[in-house]
Amino acid sequence: MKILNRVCAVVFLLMFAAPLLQATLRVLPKASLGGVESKSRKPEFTAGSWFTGKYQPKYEKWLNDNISLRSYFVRTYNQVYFSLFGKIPASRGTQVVIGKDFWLFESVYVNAYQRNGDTPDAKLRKIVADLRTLQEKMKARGKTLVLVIAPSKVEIYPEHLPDGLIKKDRRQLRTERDRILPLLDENGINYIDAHRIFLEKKKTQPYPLFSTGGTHWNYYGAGIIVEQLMGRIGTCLGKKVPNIQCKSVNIDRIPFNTDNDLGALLNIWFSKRLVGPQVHPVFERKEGEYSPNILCIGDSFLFTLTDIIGAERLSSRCDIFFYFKRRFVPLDNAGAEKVDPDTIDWDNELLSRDAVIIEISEYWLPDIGFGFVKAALAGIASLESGSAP
Amino acid sequence: MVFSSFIFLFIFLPLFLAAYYLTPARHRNYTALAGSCFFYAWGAPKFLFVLGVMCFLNYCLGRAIYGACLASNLLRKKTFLTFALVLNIGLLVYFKYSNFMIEELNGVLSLLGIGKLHWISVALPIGISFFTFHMISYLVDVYRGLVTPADRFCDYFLYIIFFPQLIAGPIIRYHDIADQIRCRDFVSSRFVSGMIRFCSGLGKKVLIANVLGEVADKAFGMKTADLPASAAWIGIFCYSFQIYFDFSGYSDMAIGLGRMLGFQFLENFNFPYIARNFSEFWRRWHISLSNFMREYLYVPLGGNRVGRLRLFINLWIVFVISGFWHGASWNFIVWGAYHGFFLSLDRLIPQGLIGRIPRMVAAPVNFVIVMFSWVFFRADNLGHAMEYIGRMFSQTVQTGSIESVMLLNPHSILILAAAFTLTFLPALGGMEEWLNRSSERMEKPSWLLMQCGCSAVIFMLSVSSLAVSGFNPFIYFRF
Repeated sequence: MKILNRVCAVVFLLMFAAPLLQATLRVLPKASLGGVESKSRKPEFTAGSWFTGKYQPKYEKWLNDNISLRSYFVRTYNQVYFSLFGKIPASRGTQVVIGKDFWLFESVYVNAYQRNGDTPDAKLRKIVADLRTLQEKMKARGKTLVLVIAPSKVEIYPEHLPDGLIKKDRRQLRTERDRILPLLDENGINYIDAHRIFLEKKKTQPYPLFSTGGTHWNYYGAGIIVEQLMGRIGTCLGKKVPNIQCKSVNIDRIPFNTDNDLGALLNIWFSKRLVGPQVHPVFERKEGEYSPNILCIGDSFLFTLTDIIGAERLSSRCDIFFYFKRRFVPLDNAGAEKVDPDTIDWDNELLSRDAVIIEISEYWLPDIGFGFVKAALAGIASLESGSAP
Repeated sequence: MVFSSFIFLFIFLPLFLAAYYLTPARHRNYTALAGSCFFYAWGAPKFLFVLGVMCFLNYCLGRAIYGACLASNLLRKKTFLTFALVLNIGLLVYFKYSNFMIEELNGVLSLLGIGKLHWISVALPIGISFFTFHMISYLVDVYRGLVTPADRFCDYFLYIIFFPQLIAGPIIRYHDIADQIRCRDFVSSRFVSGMIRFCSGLGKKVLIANVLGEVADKAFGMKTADLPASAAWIGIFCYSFQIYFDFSGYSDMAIGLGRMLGFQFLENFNFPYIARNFSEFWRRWHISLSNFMREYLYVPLGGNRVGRLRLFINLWIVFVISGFWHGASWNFIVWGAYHGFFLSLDRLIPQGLIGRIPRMVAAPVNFVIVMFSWVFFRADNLGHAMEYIGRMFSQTVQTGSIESVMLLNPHSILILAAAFTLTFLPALGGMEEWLNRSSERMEKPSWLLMQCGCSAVIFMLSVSSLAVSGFNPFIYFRF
């Protein structure tokens, strides 16, 4: 009994010392956590910061974010919670809704699905008017602008939502997309409504256009839009540009890139059974006579579009302004630069391009361009007045 | 630092235990003192010096009182005790209650049209309510001749600043611990039972109290005008369990830590919600406070050896002071008065009559009456408490910007059911006795292994829950 007590005592002590031992000896492999979070920096210790009580809470915050075995703790709790209740604990970050057949949705999209658009009419008209002005200025220079409205997964596949989640009668709702489309038509905006295209495709072909575990269109769905997009660019430029067509698909259970971004956010141990069939398109490239220079502005739906444009060499150059905050070059791992609207060389960034693609998910409507349109019009005005640096 | 934090669980505690047990037994008080000073300095570095000075003064006063005892000089003994009590209570009043008193005074001055007093708010030293009571206990015990003063200042300082009970009790009377400070056994079985107790307390706090606290916070955070009756009842129901599991959980952790270090603290909770009446409730709830108040306030006021009217007055005084001790606000005073009222009512009812009522009938009734008192404890102020109680009995809810309130989810319902079961299961015949004899069953290897296994699972779930509470990932950076 004495020996048993001592063994138990040692086991308990090891339990409390586990993170310290892991940090020192690295016994267990590192298990990363899905999703991104703002982690605090380790504070610098000074006697003054200790005495005033400023150091201690910062250190505790840093320790909570960085303690060894944290990923094991998080995954364990999430797994137990998921096994008991079929969902993961609520957090202040991205909320995941687990639907039927483990179709995953972002809760903000679910909320938007039940909400009337509430942007004042005058503001909507102003946004579309500015967009039209930019489109006209681009057209006058022989360039083209295309707006792509990316669909919400909830709008396309509401049948996979959990029962009882949708409370409102949607027949009475007018979303921002419902309100802005007539204005776009009225103003002759050159746009591709992926929501409408996807609903049509859903009826006529068997493959899902969103992956079960991702919040974005999968590469198959994005490929359909790229094909439309390149066709539209070619028509507007009056040139034969390269394009793609989906020749066949491979189906497996291996998600690619953003296909399982919501699944990764669940952070549970046994997640493989949640991964549904993944559709991987095989594209046939159609040669063109002219590869356009493209600038893309938009949200995270852009990644798949521009991945395909880059992989299939559909453009001579394709840069991304991510939310008009960070600049990326697709398939280039050089990292992101910060975008400063005040120092953009509009001649180089905009007017030297053949096409500007502004992509916006219908969730973000009407924030088309995330400030790009207004900044571009101001930049062009400066160039025209000769006052640009 | 709180016990249910990573810095305590995974940094302070393992390093402290290692240092403690690597220290030769005769010097372990120094290690415990150093660890406790660090523990206090982590949370309140500025007040460590204040606490040290207070402890030194009290230690000297304790020795002075003892010297007067030895010299049989009653006048000097009383003078020193009176001075010491005035000093300690005065400091408690200054740090804890001066802001409240000045605020109330300024309110009265405003009504009279007189200018307000200019006052800079005083910061509250962590644990002052508890360590002041410990200082008083030491001085009075020396005065009464129950104990001799601590041989060394560091032993006395350890009694006051000992980290397991420094922040939230239990209130340890000096005569209960004096011998253990001088000499205590270090037995692995006690260490293991301490660990088990600590894990159990951690689970109560993190897995039960924190979850139900979220529900209570939602209910109490709503505008009272928008609060449906059902939500008000759910909120206070959850709060009643939250405060029990939070407080008893913390006490379990303190008792467990004490055992790990060779100390045996008295129990602080004994299934209070199965009490038949308020008198029994206070023999089961925050037992250390009841003991302290009875020994150092109620008995000196005359206790039970006075007439009935004086008895009721004494009860009210004790409980109003208890309420005020909990917080510097009118709603705590009302909470204390509410308990004083029902305790006085108990004295009017023959005890034999109460005993004849089955516990399964009397306990729920008593629980509901106690539950109402928690509204005063939880509400932001007295006005909020009265409005909240009003909402509990409202038939209609004012419309306006009402949102549909989903206070409970499957997780909180499961935890509420578990809390209810754990709280009231001891009311079943024989269960309470069976549960209180769990320490005897620890002699059996199978029982020990089962408890250790369960404790490990509770510990893992608790720290996992703590990790998740601070993990808020986004799908992407949105800048």
